[in-house]
Amino acid sequence: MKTNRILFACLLAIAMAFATSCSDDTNVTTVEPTLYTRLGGIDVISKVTDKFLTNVVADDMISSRFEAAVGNHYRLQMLRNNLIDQICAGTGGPCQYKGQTMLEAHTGMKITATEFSAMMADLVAALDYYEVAEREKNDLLAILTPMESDIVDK
Amino acid sequence: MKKIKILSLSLVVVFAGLVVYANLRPLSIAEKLKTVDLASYRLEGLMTPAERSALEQKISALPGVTACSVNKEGRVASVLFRRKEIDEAQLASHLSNQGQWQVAQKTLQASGGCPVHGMTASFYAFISVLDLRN
Repeated sequence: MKTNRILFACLLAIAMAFATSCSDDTNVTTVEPTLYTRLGGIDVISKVTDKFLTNVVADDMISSRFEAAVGNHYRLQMLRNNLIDQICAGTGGPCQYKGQTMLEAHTGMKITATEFSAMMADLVAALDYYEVAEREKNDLLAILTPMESDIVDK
Repeated sequence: MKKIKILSLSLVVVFAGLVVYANLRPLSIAEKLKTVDLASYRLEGLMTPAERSALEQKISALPGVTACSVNKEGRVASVLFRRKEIDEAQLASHLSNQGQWQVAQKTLQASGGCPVHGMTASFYAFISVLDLRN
């Protein structure tokens, strides 16, 4: 009888330990990587940014908006660095955007909704060129598209 | 005479301060990337969409080129490149694809446009010149 009790107690302890370990497993939370990581980090962001810049300069509709900035070595570095930092910081990467706010930067430029759409199409083309996955592409566009209200008709 | 000496000394101190700032300021991840230049070209001659795509791929794959785009009409090509590795004339030569297309470099506007201008850009240019890490 005593042996049976000891055996029962041991089985109960093993069952509880098993149940506890099982419940622990269900509580494990997986941390979702940031969009920055999912995009491929600074390497992919800089490649997409460079492709975006060549796209807009080759785009007859909006090239005149960018020519002066990209034609000057130092202005080009500033524009490129700002774009990379802005995307990197906006997607949760280890960067800090040091440029002006979109509203400050675009006030007085009278950028039309058509021009903004053309610019976004050039960005999408750059993302497609580097085969950025649909989910990451949409997440990035969801971050950038709301900037339209600070850029268009200012 | 004494005023000139003080003024000269002040200018030297300010300049030395700027050199120190330029070389010790923390660089962002983007600033650590190699600098690039952009050249834009007008292309003449018939170009199919397949040829356009192939030309983009070919130029993008050149050493020193970070990106290349040819517009849908096949009339304009823009290239981002590292000047230490390749220059505009070499790019034009590659773009012509052994004479298949006539290539002429575009002169880009000198002012206006995109909001990277004014004192910020001038100061950045000055600091970049003083930065010996570039």
